[in-house]
Amino acid sequence: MEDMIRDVGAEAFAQVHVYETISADAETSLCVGSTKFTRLSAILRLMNLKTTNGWTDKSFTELLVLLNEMFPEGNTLPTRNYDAKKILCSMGMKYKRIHACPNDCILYRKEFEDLKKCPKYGSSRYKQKRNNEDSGQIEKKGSALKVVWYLPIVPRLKRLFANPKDAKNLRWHATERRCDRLICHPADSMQWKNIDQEFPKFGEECRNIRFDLATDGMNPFGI
Amino acid sequence: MMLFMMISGLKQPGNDIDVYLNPLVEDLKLLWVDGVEVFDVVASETFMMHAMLFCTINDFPAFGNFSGYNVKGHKACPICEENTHLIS
Repeated sequence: MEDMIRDVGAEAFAQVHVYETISADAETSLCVGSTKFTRLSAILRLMNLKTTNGWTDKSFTELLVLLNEMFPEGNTLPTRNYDAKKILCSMGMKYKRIHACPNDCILYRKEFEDLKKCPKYGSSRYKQKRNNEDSGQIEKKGSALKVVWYLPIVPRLKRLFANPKDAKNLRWHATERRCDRLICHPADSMQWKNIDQEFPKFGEECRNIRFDLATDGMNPFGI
Repeated sequence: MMLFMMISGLKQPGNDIDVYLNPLVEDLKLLWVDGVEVFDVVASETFMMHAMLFCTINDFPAFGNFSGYNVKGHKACPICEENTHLIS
């Protein structure tokens, strides 16, 4: 990830839409007199260390607090893991948390955004805490019963094209692939060729993306 | 490879997965019909990027959920469809 920022270079920064919001953090220096690190690059380096070594969120927060104490006053380093993550959000790593009906009826978005109950069966959106069992009064609103994590694909694709290595790989099938009449890439398949014929405009641009959707369940508590 | 959605819960959504696919379908529609302006560093230019769903990878039960095909019973073969050879 850090390579990506370095590779992109200063001029390209302005052009790449993804980085529009990030520029403020990329220009703020880490602390007074620091020319080597900006706020963004410092967080990127630290996050890189965190992920490669599997540090926990808690330990990372503690480290940030310690670093904050070490640096001279007025430094711009965040003091929480959450804040550090938020800064990286603008790099196209944003995610949306969408509340969902526990019976899989609807997602609470768009016209259902503000609803408290599912319009189909009237089941509640939030966990309910009953304070008084006898009166059955619902006193407090809990957290959402079911939450889906949606990671928007458009900013991710933009990020891929902003990194020279990935951008090159994305057009590999058109530029460097060997055409030896053997099927060793989806681009050799009939389906691919048919689509190119059917939609010539789409087929002409080798940078157009073809998606592959895979689904499966996993057990987060296993292994 | 990109992770696009994580649905937590005790049970898998089964046929109701279409509800969860809504946001993705919207994004795919946008990418197919209008396209998105993307800056390409290698060529140093912006271009309209389009995208399409090329194929899906899933096991057989999930295939039924996705496409609405019948995956059990007499006519379960998605290729032979009506002409599935069966012994009854």
